[in-house]
Amino acid sequence: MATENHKASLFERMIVPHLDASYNLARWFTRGGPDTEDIVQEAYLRAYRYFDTFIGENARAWILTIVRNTCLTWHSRQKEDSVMFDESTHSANSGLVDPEQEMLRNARIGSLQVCIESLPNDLREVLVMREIEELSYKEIASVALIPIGTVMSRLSRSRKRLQACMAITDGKT
Amino acid sequence: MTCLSTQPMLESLLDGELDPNQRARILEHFETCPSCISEYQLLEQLSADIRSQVFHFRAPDSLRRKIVGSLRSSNDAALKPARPLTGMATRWLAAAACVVIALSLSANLALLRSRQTQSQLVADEVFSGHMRSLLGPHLMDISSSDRHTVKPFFAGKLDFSPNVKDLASQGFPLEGGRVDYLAGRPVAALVFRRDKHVINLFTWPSSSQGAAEITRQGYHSVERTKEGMKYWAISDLNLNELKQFMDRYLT
Repeated sequence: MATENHKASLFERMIVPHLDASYNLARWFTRGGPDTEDIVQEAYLRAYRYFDTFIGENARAWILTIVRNTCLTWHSRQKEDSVMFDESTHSANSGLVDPEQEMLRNARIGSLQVCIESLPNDLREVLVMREIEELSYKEIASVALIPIGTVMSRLSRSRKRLQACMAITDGKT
Repeated sequence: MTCLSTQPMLESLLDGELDPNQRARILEHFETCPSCISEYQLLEQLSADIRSQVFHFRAPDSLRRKIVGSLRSSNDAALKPARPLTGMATRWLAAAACVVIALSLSANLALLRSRQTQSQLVADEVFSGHMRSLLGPHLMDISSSDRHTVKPFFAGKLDFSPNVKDLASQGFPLEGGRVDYLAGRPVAALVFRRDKHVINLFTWPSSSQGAAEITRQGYHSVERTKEGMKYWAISDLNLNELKQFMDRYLT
């Protein structure tokens, strides 16, 4: 039917161009987990269903918000099985892997990519959105649903950690 | 400005988030403060390292086909993942699949990395080429809005004949062109204008597929490839209009 074709064609022209950015964000979020493709496909299904609510302002930020939310849903289902931590909830007595130690260990294996992957989720996603997807502070704030001040402080903390991580790597070579 | 007030703003400067007034004050502080400059350079280096050493993952063709395919059959029931994201069976299968993926991934990693580094390097050159052309006296070697004058100008100066179009009727008049140097070779730079914004359109023959959209410090760039020719448009014009320009150029 004409309306459906029109919607599909509009979606293809406005949202599908951001498929690489969507996959990229999901891939960094899941640290290369095998569900990445399914997550992106589910995100695009939701986006297509909600397409009527899209005003047309910033397609990339809009679809990346949906992709991120879909990643979080996946993450919360995975939580029972694996160790994932947020910087804010980590405590010394929790028995979880110490992020500092984890980062030092990865630094010895030595690559910037590994250093980024060992950042806690909330720092890593902001760094990826800024440095790799090149979103503005305002866009990151709207995708991650945090105030701009929090974007800036998380970015700053992730950069300091990466510098420390790379300093160790450089020191060893 | 003092070092104390400058240091918290260094990252905002790097990320292009300061207004011109704030930028000017920091740059002024830099003139007499080597330690703030070196701290800033460390941040720049980290950012450059991330962008050059870490790559953009591209959506696999299979995923793209599934999504686009179901859109074109206008059947949104088909926009469903092959398996739901729940269940232990799924996770068990996923774990097994992970090993296979990891093995093939590492084999392709080196190839992907070098390809991606190349793309980022070209992007860097597009940006600096644009800046240079605006700062120096050398924006154009040939100044003409007639494409029948601009196109033959490149004969004998380039080993290819660039596609030259005038989009004046659509609000992007051709202003002229020059020969520039990018990606290790001479390229054509075509200059367009949209109101007060200068658009540089770099073009050269290339078989590498690429369709990046990169924004830095308020400048937007759009990359496209068509029929063996690479096109990079760059401007401080807003991204939507720049993409419009590119789309119309390539129809």
